[in-house]
Parts: sequence; structure tokens; C-alpha cells
Amino acid sequence: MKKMLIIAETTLKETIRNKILYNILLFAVFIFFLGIIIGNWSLGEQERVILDFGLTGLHLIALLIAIFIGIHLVAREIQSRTIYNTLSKSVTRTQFLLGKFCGLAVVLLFNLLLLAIVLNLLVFLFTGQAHPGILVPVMFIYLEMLIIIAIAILFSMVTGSTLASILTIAVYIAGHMMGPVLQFLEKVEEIEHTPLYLPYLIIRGVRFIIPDLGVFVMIDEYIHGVALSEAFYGFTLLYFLLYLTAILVIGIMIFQKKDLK
Amino acid sequence: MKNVRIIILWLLVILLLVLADYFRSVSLQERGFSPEQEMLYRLPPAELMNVLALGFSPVVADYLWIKLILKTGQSLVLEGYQEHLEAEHAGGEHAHGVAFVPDWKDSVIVHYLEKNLEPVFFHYLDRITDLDPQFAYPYITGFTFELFHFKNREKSKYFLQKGMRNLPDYWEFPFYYGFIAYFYEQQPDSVVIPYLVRSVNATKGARVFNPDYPKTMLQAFLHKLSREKISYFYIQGLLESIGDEQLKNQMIQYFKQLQDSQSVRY
Repeated sequence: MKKMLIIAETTLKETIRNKILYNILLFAVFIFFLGIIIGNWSLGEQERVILDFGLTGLHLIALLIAIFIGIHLVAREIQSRTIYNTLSKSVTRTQFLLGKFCGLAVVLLFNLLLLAIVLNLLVFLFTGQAHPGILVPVMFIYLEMLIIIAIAILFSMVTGSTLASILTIAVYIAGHMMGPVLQFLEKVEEIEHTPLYLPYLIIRGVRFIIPDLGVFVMIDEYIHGVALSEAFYGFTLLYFLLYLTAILVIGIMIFQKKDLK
Repeated sequence: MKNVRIIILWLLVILLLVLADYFRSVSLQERGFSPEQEMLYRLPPAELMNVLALGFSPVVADYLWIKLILKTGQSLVLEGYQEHLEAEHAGGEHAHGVAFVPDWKDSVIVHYLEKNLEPVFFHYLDRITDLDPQFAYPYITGFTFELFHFKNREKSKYFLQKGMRNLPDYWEFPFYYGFIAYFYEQQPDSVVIPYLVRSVNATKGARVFNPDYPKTMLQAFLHKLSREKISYFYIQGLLESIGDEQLKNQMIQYFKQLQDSQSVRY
């Protein structure tokens, strides 16, 4: 555990020094101001538009951090051979992988909290309304991105960086599309007798493998003040823990067998 | 020497970009239409937009909402006013006694609104309310514009029915639906009262919550007051619920004209 924490701390320090992170954060502030400008045209719905754009921007920024930094987290160490140094100090591969994951998770948490505070401040400045409850949708964005980081690390160990990025983005898109597509297909009457039945079965099967990321998106509920039950929060957290554990276990198994030469 | 070369190269890049931008704008002019206008008339079905939005359908709804507002403003302020000026300059029946304030009888602006904005207005508001069913203001905008600007009662009722389905706790939609039933469809009190009861029992509102006039209206119906008095309360309530001053003044003018023409009993 101690070695894992040391690796996490090192990852944290390396990631903070990464210039891509600051560019991404600047982009986030740009999106917030875009929301403010566009909100002025919304005929009295300024608060809603700023929050919509702000939370969506936050989501996209977190996605960029998760993909672009997550992909290179382990792969770069393997390419530059610095991983040998670490593993030679009786650090197991499991500890190494989990340490890297935890380090980026902490970086992402700090960034999201910082952006949430900035967004809250901007909403307060321009509309006079404070939104402390914004942390709830932000935390669920964080949970979603932890899954994306785990998937990004998994793909980076199996293939090159470019293909790993593309596959991670594909999983992200599929994870978000699955919910609305299934909702639409389930409304089709007597689907068994239509050509849509095969795609419906495929999507239902794939749902076990590809994460249903739509469950973590709570922007709409937050903005409209829709109260969600504690059972929903509980089951969503459970889904997150189980799925993340499964992906990390797969990642560890692949990493154990990986030839680092 | 090396620095000079770098500066010259940067200047060359800037010149190339400026020239490229100039030729882009010339090319668009040659094309003869704005891609903006083309885009407005083509929106995919709501289910497809929901899927393509990747869970961010409220943001897409916001984008369409702002686009519609800008198009409405552009139609009224820029294009409508331009036509008004041309009509005034050319002379003719439209030019006499027409000011640049929407006159519900014979205004170039209203003609332009009906011709150019109405086809996209319903379509866009329908998509916005499909993408974000909890976004209350588009339902109210749809009701007011379709009924008072475009004179389309069925489309107005469509938005109110959709609002009642998706936002059953909001007081505005049954209240306005009762307004249409009473004034436009001349429905008996027994049809209007359930909508007022629903409005009074509602727990939320789009802008103002829990105003007094739905309760006053309901009492007026239950005590069988005259149609004149009931009409007065209904119109008063409708005007109080409008936040936009310009729209409020237009509505006051409209009701004054209705009073003159007596096309609606009140």
C-alpha cells in the first residue's frame, strides 16, 4: 500500500507539471465565458444556459484529461524504459498500475473541484445565485471519468497511443448513445418482427461490456431541481464500483502478462 | 539574419491567412445563400438528436433556443425593418400609417414574421421541448407566439398539452389552456373549471409561482360571475404573467382591438 501511494504521489507531481493540463484548463475557462456570452441571448434563461454550458464544458475537460493523460500514463513509462527502475525496487505490477491510476484520479479530482468553484463563482457574479449543490453532478462526472481513465489505461497497454485514444473515445460515445438508443428501440411495437430486433439484441448484449455512461450524467436533473432518490445514488455508486473493479482487474491481468521489452 | 527570416515567414503566413479569408467570403457571396439559413430548416427527428447529443440534450436544446431567438430578432429587426423601409420608400398601401411597432392588422413586420419565421418556429420549439422536456419557457413561448402572432390555435394548444404532459406540476399550462377554451372555443364553464382547478393545485411555475389570479379566476367561475368580469380576470392574469414589457404592450393593444372588433366575447 505504501509503495502504491508513493507511485501515486510521483504521478501527481508529474501530471501537475504537464503543460497539456494547463491548456485544457484554459479551454475550460473559455467554455465558461462562452456560456456567459450565449446566456445573454437566452431571454431570461441566463442562469440555466451558463450552468448547462459550464457543466458540459467541465465534462468535456475532464474527458480530455482522462483520455490524453490516461493513455500515456503507463505507455510512456514502458516506452522510455523508466518502468524497469520502478519495478526493480520490488514494486509489483499491480501496485504500479494502481498507483498510476490513483495519482491521475487525484489530479482529476483537484481540477474538477477547482473548475466547479470557478463556475460557481461566475454564475454567482452574473446571476447572483450561488450553487453549492453543483458538487453533486460534478462528483458523478468524476466517477464517469475514473471509468474512462481505467479504460484508457487498459487500451494503452494493448495497443499504440493513437489507436488507444480512438478506442477510448469510441467507448465513450457508445456508452452515452446506448441509453437513448435502447429507450427508442424498446418503444418499437413487436420489435421481434422487425429488422431492428438483431441490433436490439446486440446492444443489449454489449451493454454488459460497454459502460452505460448515461447514468452518471445529472446535468438536466440538477438544473431543473429534480430530486433523485437515495436508492438511485446507491445503485449508481454500486454500478460504478463493480464496473471499475472489473476493468482494473482486466488491466492488471493484461499488465501482469505484458512483455515490457 | 535568422530572426529576419523568421519574421518574414510569419508575415507571409499572416498575409496568406488574410487572403484566404477574403477569398472564402467572396466564395460564399458567389454561392448566393447563407449556410446559416439552410441549416435552420433541417433538423433531424428528436429521437436521433437525443442519441447524437450523447446525453447532453439540454445543451443542444439551449443551442436551438438561442438560435431561434437570434433568428426571431433578425427577422423582426433586420429583415422585417428592411422590408418596411423599402415598402415606405416605394409607397403604396403598406406604407401609409404603418409604424415600426407591430400593428396586428396590417403590418409589414407581421407579414414577414408569418412568412419567414412561422415555418421554423414550431419546428424548433417542438425539438427543443423534445430534447429538454423540463425546459418550461419554450412551451409558454410556443403558446403565445402561435396564438397571438401566427393565429394558429391548434399549434398553441399542442404546446400547452405537451407542457401539461411533461410538466404536470406547473400552473401556467392548464391556466392558458383554460384561457383558449374559454375565449377562443367558447367552451362552457364545466370544461374550463377543471383546468383552473388543476392550475390552482399546481406546486410549481415557470417564472412566477403561486400567483393569486388562477384562484380568483376559479372563484369567479364557481360563483358564476358574468362573462365580462371573468374575461377581465383572465386577461389581467395573462398580462401579469408576461415578463417581457414589449410583449405585454402588444398584448394590451391586441385586446383593445379585439374589444373593438368584438370577434371574441369578453
